[in-house]
This record gives sequence, structure tokens and C-alpha cells, in this order.
Amino acid sequence: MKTIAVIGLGNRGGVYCSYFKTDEKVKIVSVLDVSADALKEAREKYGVEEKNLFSDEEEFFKEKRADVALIATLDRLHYRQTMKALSLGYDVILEKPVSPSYEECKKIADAAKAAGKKVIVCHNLRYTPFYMTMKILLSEGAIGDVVSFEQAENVGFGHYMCSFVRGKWKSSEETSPIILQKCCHDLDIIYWMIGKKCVKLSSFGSLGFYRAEHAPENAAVKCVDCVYKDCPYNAKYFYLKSPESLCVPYGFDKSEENIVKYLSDDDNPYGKCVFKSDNDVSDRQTVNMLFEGGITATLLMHGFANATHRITKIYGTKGVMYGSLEKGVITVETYDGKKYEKDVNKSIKGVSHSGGDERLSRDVAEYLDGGRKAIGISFVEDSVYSHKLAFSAEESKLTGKEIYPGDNL
Amino acid sequence: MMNDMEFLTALTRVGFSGELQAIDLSANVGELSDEKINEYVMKAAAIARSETDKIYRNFSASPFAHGAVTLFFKNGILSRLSLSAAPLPEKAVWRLFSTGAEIIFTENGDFAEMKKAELDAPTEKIYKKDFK
Repeated sequence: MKTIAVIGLGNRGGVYCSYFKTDEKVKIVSVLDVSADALKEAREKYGVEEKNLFSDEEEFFKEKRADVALIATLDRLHYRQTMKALSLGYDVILEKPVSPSYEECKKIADAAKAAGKKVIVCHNLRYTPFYMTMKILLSEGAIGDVVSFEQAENVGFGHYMCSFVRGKWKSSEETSPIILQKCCHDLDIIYWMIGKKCVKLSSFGSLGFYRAEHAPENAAVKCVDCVYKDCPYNAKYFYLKSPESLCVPYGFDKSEENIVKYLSDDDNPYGKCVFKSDNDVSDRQTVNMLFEGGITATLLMHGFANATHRITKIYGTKGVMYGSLEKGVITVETYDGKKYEKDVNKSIKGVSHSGGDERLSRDVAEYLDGGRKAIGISFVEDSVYSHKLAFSAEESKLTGKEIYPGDNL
Repeated sequence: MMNDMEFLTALTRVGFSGELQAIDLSANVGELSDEKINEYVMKAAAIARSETDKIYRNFSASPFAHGAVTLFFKNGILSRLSLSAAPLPEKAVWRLFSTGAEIIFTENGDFAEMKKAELDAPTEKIYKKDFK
């Protein structure tokens, strides 16, 4: 059994820990978090002893406290904390993105190699039954070699406004551009499936809608004060209908009265008008890529779907396969006239990320405990390349130039 | 009865489905010529009701023609047109994302499917023959 020290017990850290808690191959023994609510959760939910709870990073890193560090803090903290963890001899499970700086991504990969330690990046889409089945079908030659790849990340407007207008990932400067923060999953899936390097790419994108000029006349800054009570983006209207979408501290009472009180707080960004927030990340972006061997690939991301759904279509030399991650059905059509479906819904366990979070937690725990290496496991050196595609896309979007990512990290 | 393009442009008018933001096409065509690519670019421009601001074409020829055009229109609408000439039946599926709804339509079909931008909105079928 391996022991785990958790650095950042927020939303993502909490999801992984909820699965680690029931896995006999790992045990959560220490937690570092600046939030008193998170430390309370660590104590009550995961049974971490008081002496192993830390709110001070310096104190936490004075010594090694477990075999493995799970780092699930905000993007800009990853580099500093991962480097400290590696220097103390931890293997690391690192929430994506590795870092908002490409140079820092490379330094983490170099440091892991120098220390002889593993840094496993949480590309949870790889672990979903949907994408794992697609990967297996490809490796079995179901559609031959990849010719062309179409990926769409249709982000639901509710998710988009919660995370990228009001939430923690609304600012490129504070966290990272959405093409890295959100779409590093998609670019990783594309790179993982194609298995070749990108020759050139172009990207277009902008923040077009969630801007001040689209606010209705006389709209209030805080939704609780707004005359547009049934605006689909109105925080009170939306979160009372969908309280599970609201980001709240551990133990928060989601009664109607408490939600309204929470959204009324002047300092709470989740209560603000989506047109009057301080967001700057794109609400639409494309990446148009050419890979080695003449393989073409495109990604479309936007924040205007009814509910989040990813659509993937891969043409091969012998056939095509396609499907929606959320529907969990992959259709394969071959050029000699065969057509069949793979329904992966029965393989889905756990609701988050279409079963990817639970499978990731189980597979990583098994691997770190000396067991098999599942096909989804992504080490930092692989992730750095798919991250490079995201950095290149953002550069292309900002400069209007075609970018040549090249072979090297 | 409306043709496909009349239907699509009518479905994306502001009063019906909000302001259009993104256009996604996935099409398998019999022959992927420059003429065919331009035909789809013109269709996207008609749906966007705008001139092209930026365009990027990326196509390969082997083992069959395939690739995509990405477009940024002057009114801010973003579009991705994925085109292939695989040895499969021709099929072109449009997905249109507006502030008020998302719409899916397969060319030469009788109806579009629409989901409004509301929590738990049902999928509605909108038939060409009934649409005005």
C-alpha cells in the first residue's frame, strides 16, 4: 500500500480522494490546504490525523510525509509545489494542466527524470470507457491507420459561466488560457490517438459574448439585485434550479435561503452578472492541425451548448468511428460495408468525467502500488508535448500566425 | 418548402434561437475539390450572415482527400468545416450553437433537432415543411 499526501483538497482533489478512500492500495495520510473547511473535510471524511493537517506550505514541505503527493491546487502553484515534492522524493499525481508556462512544464519533466520519480498527469478523459475503447479499437486496427481527426468540445453554457466567467478559471493571467486549462484534455486525446507529432497548426478564437456590451439595459452587477429574474445566466435563477452546479465550501447547506445569501455576498464572484465579471478567457476557439504523415486534426471549443458534450470522429484508412462521450456509444463503419456499435455505458462507474475520474484513481493507485500500467496512464513527458500544442494554439490565436510545434519538447 | 440553406438561415435568426456564435460542419463528400470546399465556405458565410475575417485551410490528399477549413467571421462567429472524401455515403451534418439554442441538421433531411439554452431542455424536432 502507498501513502498519499494531498496538496489542495478542493473540487478536483476531493474527487480523486473520494475514490482513493475506498481503495485498499492507497491511504490518504496528510493534507495541505489553505482552507479551514478543506482541513475539516480531511479530518472528518478521510480520517487524517490532526498532526498531519497543514495550512502552511513551508511547514508541510519541511519533510516527506507520504510516498506519493497528489497536487490538485490552482494551475500557477503546480510548478513550485511539484518541484518541492520531487526534491523530497515523492512520486507525484498532478492535476492538469502541468503548468501555465511551457518552460515550467519542461523543467518539471526534466526534474522528474533527474530524480527518477514518476509524475503522472491527470488526463482523466483517457480513462473514460469511451476513449479507452476508441484507443483499443484503433490498436486492433478496426479502422486502420488514422487519417483525420475531428474533435468538438461543446461546453454547456452552465458549466462555462460557472468555471470560465465567474469561477476559478476566468482569467488567463490568474490561471491559464482555456485552450490549455480546458482543452489540454482534447489535445491530449488527439495526440494520444494519432501517436505522431504535429507539423503545423493555426488557431482562431476570442471572447465574443460574455462581455459588458452584451449586458441588457439596466442589468445589475449582482444577479440577486437584477430586474432580469429569468435571464438564463441569472445566478439566482440558475443555481436554485441547479444547486449541484454551484461551487461552495465543504459542508455548505444548499437550502434556497442559504444559496441566495451566498450569492448576495458582494465578494462572491458566483453571484455576478456574466456580462459584468472580470473574465477574459475565450468563449470560442478552433485549432486546425497537420500531423506527420499528412494526418489532419481539428478541435472546436465553445461555451454555447445546452449541456457539455464532446463529439469525436476519426477517419482511418479502413473505416471511420465516431460518437459522443456523454452518450457512451461508439459507431464503427468500415469501407467494406460493415457497421457496428460499441456501447460503453455499462463500463462507466462514477459520474464525474464520464467515469474517467474513478478509473484514473483506480488505475493510478494500482500502478503506484506496483501493479500493471494501464494504457491511459500519462507521464509528464507525454503531457508536455500535448501541452505544447495548447501553448502553440494560444500563440497562433494571439499572433494570427501559423505555428510549427516541431518534434522536440 | 424551404431548401436546406433557407431552413438553416431561418433557424438561426436572432428572434428564434438567440445570437449565433459557432458553426460546426462534419461532411463526407463524394469528391473534395476546391469548388466543393468553397461551396461549404459560402454556405457557412450565409448562415453566419457575415464576411470572412480570417480563414485557414488544411487538407491532405492521401489516402483520400480530407481536412478542414476554419473561419472567423467579421461578426465574431467561429466556424469549423471538416470535410472528407472517404469511401462512404455522402453526408453533411451541421451543428449550430447560439445563445438561445443548439441546432443539429443533416443536409437533405426533413427536420432539425433543437435544444434551447435552458436547464434540462427537451430535444425538439422542427420540420422543414411546417417552418415559416
